[in-house]
Amino acid sequence: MTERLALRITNALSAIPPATEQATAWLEDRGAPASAVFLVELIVEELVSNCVKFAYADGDTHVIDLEVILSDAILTVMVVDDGLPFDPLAAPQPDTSLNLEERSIGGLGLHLLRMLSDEITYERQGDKNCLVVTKRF
Amino acid sequence: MNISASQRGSVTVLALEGRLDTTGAPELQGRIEQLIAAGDRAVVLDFAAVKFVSSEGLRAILVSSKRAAAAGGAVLVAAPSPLVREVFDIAGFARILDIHLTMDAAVERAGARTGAVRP
Repeated sequence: MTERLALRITNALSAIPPATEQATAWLEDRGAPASAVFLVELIVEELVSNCVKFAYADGDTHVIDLEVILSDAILTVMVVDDGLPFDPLAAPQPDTSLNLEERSIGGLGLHLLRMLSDEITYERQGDKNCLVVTKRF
Repeated sequence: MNISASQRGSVTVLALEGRLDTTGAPELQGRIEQLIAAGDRAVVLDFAAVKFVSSEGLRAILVSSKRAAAAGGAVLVAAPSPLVREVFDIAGFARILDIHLTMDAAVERAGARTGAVRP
């Protein structure tokens, strides 16, 4: 059985907590494992806050579309925004083998998402950035 | 996120509760840096009640750890949940931070690092 939740999130950091609450409650009601809930929270936090900080040059209100799909033991999360073209998968990965003095502070958000999911794909479709994150549980 | 401070001997413990995310991270970084600037050499972060950590939270810990190290001190982590521990591992934090399963172990290690005598 496939179930879907669709959320529209405004490009503001204040929009993250209510979106997260809705998504996590929906997942918990459907018996999703704690790691699935954590992954979805991380996706919302990382991708929406990236959008808020970097995606828009016009200062206007924009909407980020989030869809959470549960199908048997597969979680799929789709994030679509109409911001500037940005392929998060093209960003360099942090070197996590460095010691404290050498570590730089960037790139951790996407690294976490890559490592906690099975697959992430990015596509630019018209004027939209489309990211799909998949995880099998 | 709520942060409450307490002392165990010469070691300052910050007990964190809630989400270490875009909202909570700057406050945590500020608190740790205040303590380091005031002369603390070991700050233990009690993660037992932290349900979620994002990259902002990791950045706050990394930046304040660098500041602590530059001042001859350290930030230690105690009792992260399995999911939070996994995030630390993915970020390579095990090699740059002291992460302990229990508060007692973290406080003991912090005391040893500051050269303090246990009460």
